[in-house]
Amino acid sequence: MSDQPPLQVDGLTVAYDRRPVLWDVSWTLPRPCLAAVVGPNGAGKSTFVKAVLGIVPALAGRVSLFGQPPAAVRRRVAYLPQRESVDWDFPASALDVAAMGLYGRVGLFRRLTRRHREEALGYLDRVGMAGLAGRQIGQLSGGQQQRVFLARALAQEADIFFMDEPLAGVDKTTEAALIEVLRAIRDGGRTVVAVHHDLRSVPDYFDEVLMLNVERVAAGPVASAFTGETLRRTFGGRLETMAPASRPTAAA
Amino acid sequence: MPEALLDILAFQGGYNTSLVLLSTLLLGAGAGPVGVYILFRRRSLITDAIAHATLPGIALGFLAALLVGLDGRSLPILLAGAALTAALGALAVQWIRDKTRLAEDAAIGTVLSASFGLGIVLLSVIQNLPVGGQAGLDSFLLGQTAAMNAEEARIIGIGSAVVLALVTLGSRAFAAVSFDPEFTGSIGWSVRLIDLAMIALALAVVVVGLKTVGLVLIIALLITPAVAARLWSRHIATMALLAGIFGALSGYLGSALSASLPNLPTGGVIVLVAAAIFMVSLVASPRRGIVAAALVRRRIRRRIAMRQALAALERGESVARALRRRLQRHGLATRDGGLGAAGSAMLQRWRRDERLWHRYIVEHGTPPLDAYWSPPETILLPGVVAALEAAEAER
Repeated sequence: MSDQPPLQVDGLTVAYDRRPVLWDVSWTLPRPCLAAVVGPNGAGKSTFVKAVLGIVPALAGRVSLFGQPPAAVRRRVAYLPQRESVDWDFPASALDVAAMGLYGRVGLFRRLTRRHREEALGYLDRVGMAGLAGRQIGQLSGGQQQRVFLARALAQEADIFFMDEPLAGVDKTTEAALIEVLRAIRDGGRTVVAVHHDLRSVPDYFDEVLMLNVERVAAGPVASAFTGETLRRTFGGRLETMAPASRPTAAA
Repeated sequence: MPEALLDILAFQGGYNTSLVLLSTLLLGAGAGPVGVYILFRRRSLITDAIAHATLPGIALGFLAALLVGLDGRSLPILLAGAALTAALGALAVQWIRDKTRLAEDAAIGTVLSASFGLGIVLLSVIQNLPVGGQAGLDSFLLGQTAAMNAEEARIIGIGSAVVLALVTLGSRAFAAVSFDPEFTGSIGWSVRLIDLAMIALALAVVVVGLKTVGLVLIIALLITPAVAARLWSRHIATMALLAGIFGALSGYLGSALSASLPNLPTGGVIVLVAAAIFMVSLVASPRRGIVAAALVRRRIRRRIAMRQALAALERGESVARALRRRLQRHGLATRDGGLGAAGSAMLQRWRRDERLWHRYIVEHGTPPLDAYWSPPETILLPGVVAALEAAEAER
C-alpha cells in the first residue's frame, strides 16, 4: 500500500465547452513529497487539481491515488480550495469551518460532539489560530482565513493534500507558519500538491514540480525540472514582464 | 375585536381557527430555515419562478378533478397539480440555462412570466365553465384562510412539519454546500443531490403554503425571516433556528390577525408581520443594525476628536470646553486642563496603534474591520503584531 505512488495522472484532458483547458497531462509523484503546480494565469492549474479530484469532469485521462481510483480513497484525500472561491461573509466561526474537515468522517447526520469541537480546536492550534477560534470568519484577515482553510484540510487527516494557492495573499509571517505546517505534513510521510504562484520560492519550498501551461511543459524534481529553460517554455514572454528577481538564477 | 384577537391568539377561537393557526405557525417554522439555505445558495429567484409556475397546475388540477368526477376544490389534487407544474418550471429554467447561452436570471424571468400567464388564462377559462366551485381558486394567488376547513389545515400542518423535520435533518449538508460547494464535493457528498433536495424542500414550502400565503407572496415568507435572522446571528445553525422562530411568529400572528379581520388576504398579513420583524431587526440588531452602525460611527468620531485634542494639549494649545470636559471625565486631562500622565500615555498608545496599523496596510493591503480604532492585538495574531513591531523598530 505505502509503496504505491501517491499520485499518478495519465493523459488528463479537460475542456470547458469548446475551449481546451488541460491537454493530455501526465504526471507521477513516485513518493511522498511537497509538489508544486506552476504556470501562468489561465494555464489550467486550478482545473488540474479539480479534475484530479473529480470536481471538474475530465474528457479523457486516468487518475490514481495510491494506486486506486480517487473515489475509492476519498477519506485519504484533502482539498483546500482557493480562498476567493467562497463567500467569507458566510455566518460561521473559524471553529465551524475547521470542523467541516471532520464531516467526511462524521458523516451527514451524526451529531458533532464536544470531542469533535476539541479536535477541530486542536487543528486550529496547529496553524496558530486557536486564539481566534470563535471569531466570525468575515472578520479575519486574508492570512487568517488561509490558516483556517489549512486547519480544515488538516482535520481531514488525509494522506494526500491538494491545495489551490495556499500561500496567495498572505503576509510573510503567515507564509512562514504555513510552510512549516506543510513541511511537517511531508515529514510525516504524506504528500502535498500545491498550486503555487510565487516562482521565487519554488526551489526553497518544494521537492517536485509540474510546469503547466495547458500541456505539461516539464515535470520532476525541482532541481532538474525547474530551470530557466523550462520557465521560458512555460511562461514565454510573460516571464519577462515579471520582476527580475522572480527568475531563479541558481536553477538556471 | 381586540378581545376576539386575543382569544384566537390563545388558541380559543374555535377548533377550526386554532387548527389553521397551528398549521400556519408550522408553515412559517419550516419556511424560515429553508429560506436561509435558499438565500446563501442564491436560489431565491428560481424559487419565485417555481411559486409562479404552480398556477397552471392549480387550474389543471381543478380540471382533472372535474374530469374524473371529483370535487374540483379538493386540496390534495390541487396541490399535486401545483407541485407538478412547479417542478416542470424548475426543469424548464435549468434546461434553458444549460442548452442556450441565456443567463439564469433571463431563463427565470421567461419561465416565471410565461407560466404565470398560462395560469391566469386557464383560470379565466375555468371561470366561464358551466360548473361550480371555481370561485375559490383565485385565493391561491394571495392566500385566504377564512374558508379553510379542518382537513385542509391538517394537510398543511403535517406537510409543514415534514418540511421542518427534513430541513433540520439536512442542515449540515445544506450549510456545507452553501458555504463551499467545491469542498463539499471533494469529500464525496453529491452537490447535485444536495441542491436537488434543497430545491425540493423550497418547492414543498411553496406548495404547502399556497392556500394560506398564496403563490405571489410565498417567496417573502421564505426570504424575509431568513434576512431578519441574518441580522442577529453569526452562525448558520443559529440563523436557521432564528429564521424558523421568526417564520413561525409571522405565520401565527399573521394568521390570527387575518382571522379577526377576515376581509384581508392572509398572505399579505403574514408577510407584513414578517416585514415588521425584519424592520425591527434592521434597526435594533447589535451587529448589523442601523443603531449599532450609528454607535460605531460615533465611537470613531469621538476617538478622532479626543486624539486631536490630546495632541493639541501636548503642543500646549487649548481645546474647546466640551472636549476638555470629556477628556477630564475619562481622566485624560488634568483639572486645570493640561495633559496629564494618563492622557500622555493614552496618546502614545494610540499613536503606536496607528503606526502599526499603517505598517500593516502598507504590507497587506486593505485594513481589516475595526482597524485603527482598535488595538492591533485584539484583531491580529500575536506573531503578526510582533512582526509589525519589529518592522517599526527597524525604521
